[in-house]
This record gives sequence, structure tokens and C-alpha cells, in this order.
Amino acid sequence: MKGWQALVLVSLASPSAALTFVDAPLPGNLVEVPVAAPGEVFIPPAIVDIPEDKQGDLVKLGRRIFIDTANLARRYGGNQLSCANCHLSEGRKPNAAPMWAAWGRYPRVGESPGTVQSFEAQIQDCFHFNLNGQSPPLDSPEMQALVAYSQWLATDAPTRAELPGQGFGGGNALAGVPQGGGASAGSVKRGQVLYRAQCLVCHGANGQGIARRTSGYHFPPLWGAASYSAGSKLARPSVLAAYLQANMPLGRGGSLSAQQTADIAAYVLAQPRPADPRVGLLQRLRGGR
Amino acid sequence: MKISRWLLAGVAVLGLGVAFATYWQSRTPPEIVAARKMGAELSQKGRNGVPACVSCHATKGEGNAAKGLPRLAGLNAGYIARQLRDFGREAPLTGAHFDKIARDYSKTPRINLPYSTLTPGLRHDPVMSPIAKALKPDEIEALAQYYAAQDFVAKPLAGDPETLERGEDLALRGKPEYGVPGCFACHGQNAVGVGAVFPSLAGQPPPYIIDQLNRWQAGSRDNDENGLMRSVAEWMTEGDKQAIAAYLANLTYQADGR
Repeated sequence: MKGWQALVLVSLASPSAALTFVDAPLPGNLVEVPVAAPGEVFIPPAIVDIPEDKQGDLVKLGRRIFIDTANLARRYGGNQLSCANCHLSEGRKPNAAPMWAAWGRYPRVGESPGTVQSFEAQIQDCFHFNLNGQSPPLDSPEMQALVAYSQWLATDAPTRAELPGQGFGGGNALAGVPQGGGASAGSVKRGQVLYRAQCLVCHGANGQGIARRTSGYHFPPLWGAASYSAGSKLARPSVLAAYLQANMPLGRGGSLSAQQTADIAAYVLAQPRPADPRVGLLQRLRGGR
Repeated sequence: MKISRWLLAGVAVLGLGVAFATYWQSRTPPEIVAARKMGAELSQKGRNGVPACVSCHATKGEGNAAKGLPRLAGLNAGYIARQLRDFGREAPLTGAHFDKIARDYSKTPRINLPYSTLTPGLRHDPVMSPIAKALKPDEIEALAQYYAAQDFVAKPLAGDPETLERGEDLALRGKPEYGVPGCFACHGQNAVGVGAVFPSLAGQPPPYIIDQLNRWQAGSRDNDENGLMRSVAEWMTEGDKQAIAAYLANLTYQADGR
């Protein structure tokens, strides 16, 4: 008797036979933890190694502002988001725009012609477009602390170099997806199904996220008045899809395909969010963004 | 004079109304009070086929740190109920299965998702599973409501400073170079728990935390949302487990039963 015939007979004879459960690793499970090749991604210094001096105090303040922007930089913030809501693991996670990779890439030529973007200007843009707030001045303690924290994270990191893990994973996450420009590469309908299966547990049915008891968000809101504005880079379908593919669901980055993340990005960006602060009310009424 | 008297009466009625509305909003619904009472009785005395919970989980569900038995006091009611249901569930049949009437499955929509999003979830334990199987649905709800309403104050365990430092690093930041988030990213600041999905970890005995992480790795516990916990546990070494268990047991934590 062949193996499969025996299996069929067994299943027909006792369809509800109680299976004995074995505490053994399943064949597909990873029990031996593989070690990443040394030097594959840059590893920033440990928190316990922050020097015990004035500079170290500035770095510590910067870290606290980074993870609790909604409280400690609230005079510049517009919504309750924090830096660490997107720059995961306190700005350390590769492919989630880590600060150790960003530090060495500024100043750089800006997107609009004739402009040069400095690191501080980039932080100001983050406050303006993502936190929907005001740009902190260059000499404000918040700005100085955030810059010091980023600089400390990039201790011994090469500057002006293409580091593995910088940005959102190289931005090639949409490779192989038919792109018709804008959000049409992803399907909002498919995105809704995927959103319910993959994102709803943490970010909620209405994308509202889960707020902390004190200040800020535990899981950030993805759309609605409390989310980032349409002027944010994450409001671009390709950027959001790249971010999702590299980082989401949390801890399972890379588990979704490029098409799936494009669909989810299309669904999320089809929802209402605060308008681009650069676009005036009349422009918006006339049919701008 | 008359007008002011009417005004006074109106204000008084309004005040009483507001007071009553506040009371009505903040009172515990009677069905939950009844469930807590039923749960208290069941947890203390047990019944035929169900031993009393207090015999292992201590008087008010504080757990047993030495034996690694988890605390239940102050956990989310939805979480407790779900775990009991998952404990009592039979493992699904694997292998070839035939319908009595042949059906065409080719038109069934399929989504490629991890195993645990398509199955209700399994959590097998030689001691807990037979007990949970004997519980009726209303008893599960009663026990969940009872234990969620208990106060709990963690007794922080001292630990080796270097182990605690490593544990704190894992809890706050995880292992970003492996893409692993910290515990607090989902389980809340200081692991106080977030909703019914992400349970409170603070104040759980270290042997329990390590044992559960081993089970996530081995696949014998598989009742997480989206396979989130399994994908985190996969990357944890033995040292990581010990450091995180020591750090979680070192936390100050207080649950006020609501």
C-alpha cells in the first residue's frame, strides 16, 4: 500500500481522531538563529555608550525628543506623531530611513532646482509636512538635540557613501509592477482586503492607530486629521510602498510582495488626510491637491 | 423671587441629571458583575472536571514565580478568553481530507497569508488544554472578566546589571539590524499591554517568558495575529530570552482591576 493510500484510509476511518501534539520544531521553522554577515549593515553605538558629558546630555535629550516628539517638542508639533513612529527602533532600523545613514548624506542638492538641502532643513521639513507643525529654528534646543542624536548615531559611519539600509531600501520596491503613474499601479480594492488582513490589528479599521495614555501614538494613524499631510514624502505611492515592503508588518518586513505593498499604499493614500501645507485653500478649491 | 426659585430647581434637576448620567456611564454593567461573581466562584472552587484555578495561579491570579506559572490578574479580559479558547481547541486534521459531496474549490478566492491568520490559532499545553476543553463558553467569559478585574502589583526581581542593560536594549529597540522590533513597540511602554491582542508582559515570571518564547520558536504556540510574535521569536537567542525575561521581571508595574 502506498503512503497516500494509507493516509486516505486513516482519514476516512477516524476523521476526528485526536492528534498527538509533539513539541518538536516544525520543518519550516527557524530554530538556529542565523548570524548576519558582519559589516552588512552599519550598527550604531549602544545607548549605554553615550558619553557622560555635556555632549552626551544633548544626545540623550535628542533621543528623548526623537521617541516622544509629541510631548517634548510639542511647541513645534501640529499632530501627535513622533519621529520614532516612522524612523523605527529609535532611528536605528535599516530601511526605515535610519538616522545613521541620513547624517552623512547632507547637505545635498534639493528637489527643486537651485536649492541645497541641509540636514537641519530636512528636519524642519519633517516637522512641517509630517508633524503638520512649525519648523523649529536652527538654534532651538529641539533642533540642536535632534542633530546631536543623529550625529552620535552615525559615530564611525562613512559620510557621503551609499550605505546598505539607507532610506527605504533603495526605492526599488516597485520594480516589476506595471506603473501607470501615481497610485494607479496599485489597486485600492485589493489594497482594502490586504489592509484588513495585515494592518488592521494595529492601525485600526479607520486607520486611526492606537494612542498612548500619556502623549503620542503607540501605533501611528495612517490617515485622517491626525496623520501626516499630503505634502509628506510618505504620501507618494512609490515611497510608501517601498517603506511598507521593507518594514511592515512590524517585524515581518519583506513578507509582502511589491504588488501587495503597492495595493496597500494605494488604499491608504486613497483615504483623506491633511492637505499639503504648500497648497493654498483657493488652489485646493480650484482642483489642486 | 419666584423666577429665581424655579431657576434653582432647574439647576438642581440638571445637576442631579448630570450626576446620574456620570454614574450610569461609569458603572459596571450588571452582566459583567455577574460574570465576575461566577468567575470568582469557579476559580476558587472549580467544578466537576475543572480543578480550581487558585491551586496553580495563586489566590488572586498572581501566578507562581518559582514554578513559572503565569499571573492572570489584571490581564485584558479579551486576551484571557482568547487564550482559553485556543487552549481548548483541537489541532486541525492534517493530510488528505475528502468531502462527502465533491465541491469545486477552484473558484474559492485565495489570499496568500501566514498560517495563523487563516486558522483560529493553537496553544497546546498538557495541563491547561484538558481544563480549557472542559470549560463552557460562559465560564471562559466569567473567568476572563474575574481575572481582568483583579488588582496586581509586581514585585520587581533583582538582576545582574549587564543582563538588565541588554534586556532594556531588546525591550526598547529590539534588534534593528535583523529587522526585529523591541517588545515595547507592540506590548506598550513598560510592557503594560495594548488591547486584547498584545498582552501585558510586566510582572510575568521569567521561566514563563522563556518557556513561551521557546514554544513560539518550536511552533507549539501559534495563536498570534499575522504571525507577528513568531517572526520576532525566530530571531531570539538563548541569551536574548534570558535578558528579556530578567528585564521584564525587573519592571515596576501595577494593574488596577477595572
